[in-house]
Amino acid sequence: MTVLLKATDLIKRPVVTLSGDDVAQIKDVIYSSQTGQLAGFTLNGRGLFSGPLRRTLPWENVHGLGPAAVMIRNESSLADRQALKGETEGAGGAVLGSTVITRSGRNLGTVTDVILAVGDTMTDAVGYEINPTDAAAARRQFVPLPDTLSVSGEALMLPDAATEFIRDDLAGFGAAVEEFRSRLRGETEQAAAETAAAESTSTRPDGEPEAPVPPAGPAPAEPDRVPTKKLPVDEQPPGEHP
Amino acid sequence: MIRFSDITGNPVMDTSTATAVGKVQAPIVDPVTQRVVAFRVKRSKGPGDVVLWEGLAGLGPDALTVDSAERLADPPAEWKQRAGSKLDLIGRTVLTENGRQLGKVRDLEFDPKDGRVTSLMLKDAFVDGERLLGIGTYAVVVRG
Repeated sequence: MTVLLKATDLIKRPVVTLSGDDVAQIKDVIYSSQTGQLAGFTLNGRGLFSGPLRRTLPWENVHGLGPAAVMIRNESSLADRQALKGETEGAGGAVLGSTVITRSGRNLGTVTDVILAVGDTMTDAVGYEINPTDAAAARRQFVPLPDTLSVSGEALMLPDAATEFIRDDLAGFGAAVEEFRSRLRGETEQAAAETAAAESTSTRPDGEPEAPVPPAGPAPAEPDRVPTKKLPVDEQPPGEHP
Repeated sequence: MIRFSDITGNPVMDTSTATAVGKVQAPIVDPVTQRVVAFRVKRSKGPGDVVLWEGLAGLGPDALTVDSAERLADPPAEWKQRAGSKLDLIGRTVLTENGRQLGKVRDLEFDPKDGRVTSLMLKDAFVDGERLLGIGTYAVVVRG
C-alpha cells in the first residue's frame, strides 16, 4: 500500500526501535542528488536540550514509517554521518525554496514541501507542494514530478505536461502522478521516434539555406545600427545648449 | 484468563504467617516470551519489592500468596531494568512496527497457569499478546 505524505511532516517525528525505545528524532530529510529519492534522515537527540546527533538513518534501515513514529530494528540501524555524505539535504538545501519552471518558461511557484509516496518497499519523491505565483490560484498546489529529476540548482525544470496535473489537495494527487508519469513515458518514446525521423529528413534542407543566409544576415544589420547610434549623438548637443 | 485490573491492589499474603506482606502494583512482562514474569509489589514487608512468577504459591481472584515474605526480593540481574517503573506496560503508548499509533495500554489479560499474555486491552481495541515485540521507555511495539 502506498501512502502520500509531506516530507516536512516527518521532521521531529521520533525514531523508535522495535523494542520500544526512542533513540532519536528526525532532524531533516536527505534526498539522493541523482534520483531525487529519499536517501535518509539526519537526526536530533530526544529531549528538550539535546542537539544534533552525529549519526544518520539511511532509508534502507527504516523498518516502518508511520504517522506516529519512524521505526527501526535496533540502535545499530543508525549509521555514521559519512553514510549520506554527498547527498542533498532537504530544508535550506537545493529543493525547498527553489523555483519551479516549465520547459516552455512558465514560473509555477516556489517549492514549499516535497510529497513522498511511502510504499512497503520503497519511497519516492512524487511531487512538490508549491506556493503558486498565480495569485488567483489556491494557496497551495501540488505538482507531480517525473520519474527522475535532479535536485541541484536554484530552479527545477518540469515538462509542460505537469501543469495539467496540478492539484489543490493531496486527495487524488497520487492518481495524477501516475497519469502524468505514464504520459511522459509515452511522450519520450514518441519524441525519440520523432527526432529520429526528423534528423534523417532535416540534414539535407539545412545545408542549402545556410549558404545564402550569411551574406543576407549581416548586411542589413549594419545599416540598421548605424543610424540608431547616430541619432542620440545628434539629439544630445541640442539638449545641452539651452 | 485474568485481567490485571482485577488483581491490582490485591494483598500479597504470606501463607506461613497469614499476614499481608504487600499489595500488587504492576505486572512485569517479558516481551520476548510474551509472559508475565513477575509482579511489582508496593508496601513490601520483604527484602525487595518484586515477586517472581515462580515464587508465587497461589494466584487467586482476591489475593496473591507466597510461602514466605522472603519471596519479595530485589529482582535478579536479568530483570533488573525490566522491573523498573520506567518500563511499565500499563499506560504506555502502543505503536505498530509500521509506526502507527494504536492507543495506550489500559489493561492486560493473561493466562493464570503460565503467565502468557493473551491480550493487551486498549481504549477501543484488543491487541493479541502474540503480537508483542518490545516494551521500551517510549512505547510498546506490536507486530502488524
